[in-house]
Parts: sequence; structure tokens; C-alpha cells
Amino acid sequence: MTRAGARGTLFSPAVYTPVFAALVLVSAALNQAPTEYEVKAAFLLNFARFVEWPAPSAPGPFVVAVLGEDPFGPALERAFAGGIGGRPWELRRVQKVEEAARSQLLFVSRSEERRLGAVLAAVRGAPVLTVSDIPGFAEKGGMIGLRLEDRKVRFDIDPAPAAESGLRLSSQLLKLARIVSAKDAR
Amino acid sequence: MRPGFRDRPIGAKLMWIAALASGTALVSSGLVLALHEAHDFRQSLVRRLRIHAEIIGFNSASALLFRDEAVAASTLGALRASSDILGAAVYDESGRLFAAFSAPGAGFTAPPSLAETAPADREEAGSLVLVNPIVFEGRRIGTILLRASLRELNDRLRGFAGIFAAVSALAFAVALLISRGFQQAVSRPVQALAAAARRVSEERDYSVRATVESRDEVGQLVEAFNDMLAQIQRRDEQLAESMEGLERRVEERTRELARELEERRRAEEEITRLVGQNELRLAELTSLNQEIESFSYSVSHDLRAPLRHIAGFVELLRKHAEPVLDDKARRYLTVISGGAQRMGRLIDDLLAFSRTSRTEMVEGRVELAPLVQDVIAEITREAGDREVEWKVEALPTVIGDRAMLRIVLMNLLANAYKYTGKSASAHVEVGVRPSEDGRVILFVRDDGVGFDMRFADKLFGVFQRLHKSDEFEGTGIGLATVQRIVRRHGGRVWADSKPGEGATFYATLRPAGEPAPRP
Repeated sequence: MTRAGARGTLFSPAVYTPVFAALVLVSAALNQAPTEYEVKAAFLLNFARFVEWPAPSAPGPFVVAVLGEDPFGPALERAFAGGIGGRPWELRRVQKVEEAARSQLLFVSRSEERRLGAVLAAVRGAPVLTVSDIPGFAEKGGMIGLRLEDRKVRFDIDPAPAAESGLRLSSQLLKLARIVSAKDAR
Repeated sequence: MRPGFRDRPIGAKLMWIAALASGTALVSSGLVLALHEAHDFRQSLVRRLRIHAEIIGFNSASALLFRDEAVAASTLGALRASSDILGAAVYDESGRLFAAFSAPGAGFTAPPSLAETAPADREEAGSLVLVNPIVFEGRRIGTILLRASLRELNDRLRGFAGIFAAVSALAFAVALLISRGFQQAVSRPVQALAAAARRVSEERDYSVRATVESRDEVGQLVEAFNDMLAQIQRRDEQLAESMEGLERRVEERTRELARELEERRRAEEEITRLVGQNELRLAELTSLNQEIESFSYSVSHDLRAPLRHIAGFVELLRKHAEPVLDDKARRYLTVISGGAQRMGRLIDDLLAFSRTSRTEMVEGRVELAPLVQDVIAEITREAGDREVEWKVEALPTVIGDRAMLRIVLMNLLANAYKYTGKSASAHVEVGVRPSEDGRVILFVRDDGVGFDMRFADKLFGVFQRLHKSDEFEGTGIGLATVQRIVRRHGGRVWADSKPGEGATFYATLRPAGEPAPRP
């Protein structure tokens, strides 16, 4: 009888229901598609890979800056954990435009949409790759504008400001982008 | 090889060898070429595919990184330009299918996942599959898979096989033609040699010669063969010649022999004829002689009866007419009686003489010494009125008829006694001397009257007398009897004398066993 009782406890709903629930949760977490900003963080890293910066005047780390409210959370650190071509790098979250200009890769948060003109003016001509998911960013003088298309992250590029800043965008990058121009928009 | 290849003509053998050799060389070189071609083609295809994979991979890197399947697919679409690429697929870092491309009509379906990540190439269902990693900044960010058709290779190989078959057939034909030309150079002399050898062995014609066409081993063989034939021919001719000579000699010899045989046969016939004649004459003579002898015997025998009558009746007359007979008549009777007695002795001697040739001879060992003593004793007893000195040497034993030899000794010794009758003292010597022919010579020597040697040949004839019967009485038959008996014993008799100095009579006799001891 003791045996039968033991078996009864092992397969009783009281035991397996929480185990089953935990399993379903873990599986969901593993199979979960990356979030929008996780993808965008990966895109930032990839942009860094397909863009050539002019040789720096002073030695220092490769600075990635997020201007305004950081929408990434830990996703950005995680994306850049592997490094950029072995160079030392640094992630800065900044609020001031001056600070933003001292970076190589600048992500302009949607929170900065209202002062976008000032931000872009501050970095014009400097070797700073500007990326933002503010709608129409590339058409407004930015270099790479992120957008969602069919729930996938895609991007627009305006090659003119990049060339002005001395940045060389790889054709590999260009063939993936929708090429836009700020002049067309005016 | 196939059975019967050993028995095929040498020309066919050479052609087959050449064809097989060239065929083997062609096929093996063709196979090697084809293998090399296939390998080469595959290598170059793999190389080309890998370059494609590298380029596509490089061009797909950003699409992979930015997860843009459409761009990746369009990048893959560039492969449309390569006609032999059936399809391609790009897999992401974790092996999930990212983008795929299928050539129009190829029906390529990319597998939904790919576990392998290392560079590889393999053949799958008549096509070549190549896997290459996509590496970006030293990190593998995906994998590309290319599938290419091998139809070109197969087409090429088929074409190659066609060309090869055509070239092989042509080369084989040319090789056959060339080898036919060369094999004739090799096989024709051998065939000619074989034909010549066959003719020689079948027809025994040693004048056949094979033609020498080359200086190689076959040429040497042909020359050696010809030399051999020449030697055989020479020997054959010599043999025939010597056979001819031999036959001629045999014929000659046969003719000679026939001639000799004929001569001999003729001689033999002649001899036979002569012998026949002689035998005839001998038979005539013998029968004549026998007639004479039987005549004389019967005459002698028949004469005895009337003679006994004469002698008997003369004695009766003397006794009966004694008283009336005067002296003259008595003397007459004495003369008649003496004549009858002499006639009786004559007849006895004649009978004895004829008996010597008629009676059978009984031969045996005869000791001469006692026989001589016996004869001397008889002579002395019958006519013992005279003194004679007998000198008898040691005498041997001889072979002969005792009775006949006694007659011989009696005659010889009685003659010696008789013809020494005129001497005052008579000496008679009996002895033997060895003869050259192995016989012994018996001699009887006296110192009587002797005789003249001129008449020696008449001594042994019948009725031949050298002295008058009134001088020495005798019948003239004694020595004839002696001669006849000695001759019957195989010996001979002769005499030696001078008138007045005695005589010696010799007779050869056959000694018994050993020759007579020397005196």
C-alpha cells in the first residue's frame, strides 16, 4: 500500500502542474524572438562594422553614445560585448549635444526629436555616424534612419552627410538600405 | 590466351601480339587520360564553386548580419549566370536556412537546416555539392551550400569516349596494317623455311634452298638450314656414289665368283669323270687280279691232287719194282720223286702267296724277339746240317698280324740261311734301326753270296730268281710274299748287296707304343 501511495503522490496534479508551467516558461523565453531594440542594438554594431572612419587625430577608445532617453537597456552592452574589430570601445549615455559630438557612433533617441536640428548641426562635418529611429531621420539630415517594415527593422541612408563627414559607407551596407536624400525632401 | 593460339600460323600470332599490345597501350592510356580528365574537371569545378561560394558568402555577409533574406536571395540570384549551378542556399550561424536559390528548371530544394560548417565537397545524385563557411571579421556568421551539375563532365567524358573509340579504331587499324607489313618481314622467311623443310621431309629433295632475306636470327636460321641441306645433299650423293661403286664391285665379284664356281664345277666334273674312269679301271684291274689269283689258286689247288698221285705212285712203283729195277731206273724214279716234291713245294708256296692277299689281317702286338728265336729254331731243326752264327739284337714290339709277320721273318731268315750255304762260316745278323717316318727298320744281314744291284728291282717279283735253282733251291715266291705282307702292313721292303759280300734286307714296321730303343 505504501508503494501505491508513493506513486499516487508522484503523478498527482499537485506535483506536476508547477513543473509543467516552469518548463513552458523556460521554453518560451528561449524561443522568444529578439525584441525591437535588441535587433536595433545589433544593427548599431553592424553599422560600425560596415563603416570606415577616418584615422583618429588622438588615440582613444571607439565611443558609442546614446543621446537622450536610452531605449536599449542592457541590450546595447550585450550587443557590443564581442567588441568592434578588437578595438577598445566605450558606451556613453549623454544628454548634452557637445558630449554627443565627441563620439564616433551616435544614436539619437526619439526623445530628442524636437531638438534634432541642433543636434545634427552640432555634429555636421565631424566624423560621427548618426543613427536614429526618429521617423524620417535620414531625410532630415541624419545619416541612417531606422524604421520598421513588416515587423522587421530596416534602414534608410543618406550618403551625402556621411561623405561630408569623411565616413565611407560600405557598398554591402548601401545595398541593404533604402537610399534617401535630405535635399529631395526639401 | 585462347585455346589453339599455339597452333596458329606465326604471321597471325605476330599480328595478334601487335594488335593486343597496341590495343592494351591505347586502352590503358585512354583510361588514364579519362581518369585524369575527370579528376581535373572535378578539381577545377570545385575550385570554381569555392570561388563562387567565397564571393557569394562575402556579398551575403551584410545581409546575414542585418538579417535581410531578400537581399541574400538576390545575391544568390547572381548565380543564375553559371549554367552548371543547380541551386544554392545560405544558412545562418545556427544552421537555419536563411536564403535559397534554384536555377530555372533545376527544382533545387534546399534542406531546411545544415549541421556542417567546415569546407567540404561531395557528389550527390549525379551532382557536386560544395559547402563553405561564411566568415566575417574572423567569425563564422553562416554557411553557404552550392549544388552544381556534373552533366558537363559526363558530356565531356562521353565525347572523350567517342573520340577515343574513333581514334582507337583508327589506331588499331593502322597498327594492324603496320604489323601486317612488319610481320610479313618476320613471318615470310619463317613460312618459306617451314615450306622448304616440309618439301625436304616429304619429297626427300635435298636440292631445295630457302631464300635468305635478312641478317637477323631468322636469316641465320635459314642459312644454317641451307648449309645443313647442302651437307646432307653432298653426303647423299657420296652415299649414292659409294653405293654404286659397291654395287659394281659386288656385281664384278659375283661374276668372278660365278666364273670361278663354273671352273671349279667343271674341274670337279673332270675329276669325277677321271675318278670314275680310274675306279672303273681299278675295278677292272681288281677283278682281273682276283680272277688271276683265284685262277692260280684253283690251278695250284687242283694241281696238288695229280701231283700226290705222281709222288705216291712213284713210291709204290719203287717199292713194288725194287727187285727188278736197275740203278738207272732207280735214279729216274728219284728224279721224278724229287721233281714231284719240288712241284709240291712250289704249289704250297703259291698257295701261301695267294693267301697273303686273300686272308683277313688280324692286327695285334707282336714281340719280335721270341718270334725270331722261334723261326731260327725251326730253320735249324729242319735243316740243321750246317753251322750258322745267329746274331740277334734287342728287338721291339710291333703292331701287325703275327702269322703273316712270321712268314716274313721265315722267308728273310731262310733266305739268309740258304744263301750263306756256300761259305765256310756263315754269319746272320738280325736288328732294328729307327726310321725317319717314326717306324722301325728291321734288317737281316748275311755274309752270303749276295747279288748284283742291277737286278735289285727284280728281287721281289714272283718267280724272279737271280740264281739258278740247282745252285740254290727255291721257288722264287718268298720275297714276293714278303713284299706283299709288308705292304699290307703299310711298310716297304728293299735290299742292299754286292755280289760275294752278302746281302741286307730291310723292312719297315710299325712300332707298338713307343719307338724302338736305339741299338
